[in-house]
Amino acid sequence: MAVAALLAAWLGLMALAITNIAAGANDGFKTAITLNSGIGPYSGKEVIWLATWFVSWPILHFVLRNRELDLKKWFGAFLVGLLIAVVLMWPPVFEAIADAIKGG
Amino acid sequence: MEIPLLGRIRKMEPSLATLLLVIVGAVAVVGLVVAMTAPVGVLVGDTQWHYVSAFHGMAATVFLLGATIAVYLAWRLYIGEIRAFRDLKWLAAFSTVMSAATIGFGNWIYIAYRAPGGPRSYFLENLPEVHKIFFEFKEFIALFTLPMFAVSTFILWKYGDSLVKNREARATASVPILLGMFFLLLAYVLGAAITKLRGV
Repeated sequence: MAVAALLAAWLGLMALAITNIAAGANDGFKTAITLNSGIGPYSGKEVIWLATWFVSWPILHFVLRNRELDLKKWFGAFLVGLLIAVVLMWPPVFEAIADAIKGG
Repeated sequence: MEIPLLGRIRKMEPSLATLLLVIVGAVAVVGLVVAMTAPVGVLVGDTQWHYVSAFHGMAATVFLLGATIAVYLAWRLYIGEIRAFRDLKWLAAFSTVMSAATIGFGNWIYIAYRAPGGPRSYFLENLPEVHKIFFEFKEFIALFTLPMFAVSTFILWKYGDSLVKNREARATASVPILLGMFFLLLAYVLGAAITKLRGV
């Protein structure tokens, strides 16, 4: 199932982006995801990214396996979603969002 | 009007033999440099981190070599003119493995980067924007290469050459490889620049 593979990859990257913003906005969360002192909170961000990707993939595969999906439409959605994930990873953007959450 | 030479180039495709030749050539060049600068410690450095750094850079370079040929074949697939489909399947899988290996070594060397007195401390003190913008972006965008090549590898192996007949399926299998190469180039150039400014 190509759509399940695409969506799972995108979900993993969005989880990475959201985890990164949450770590910037909340010091307690940042400490909680520091699974390895050597690489700091990056360790937890990677674990959440990989867990989201590899857990969502079989689930989506199972849920979508008998559905007729428009590949063109879903691939377009994947590309738009990927662009959003890239923008959210740009430091001035994710820092501004984290600061806004902190300030709010 | 069709220019004969361009027509011939358009029909040419690399093969696993070409890839093997490129890798043998690359290893030969590295071997020559190593021999000329022996002992190896003079070339690489004499601490554990210098070796980890060298493996990270070498893995990224081998990844870049494989991905470059994969991108060309992915473009051939995209326009529906691919003949070496089997080569693309293997190159996509090879690039996925090299992406994972490069990320693994990157995590390892990141320990030295963050260590007290390491490059991060230096950048935060002298060039904060290098760490806060370029390094932070590099460390995340490098991770994007893995899902891109993995998705393409999955689609290529799952559907095989049946997807060559379908335009949407061809795009779905080939475009992530092109995007993966874009992310790889960004991370590679930023990584090389950061290393030049301050190595581990």
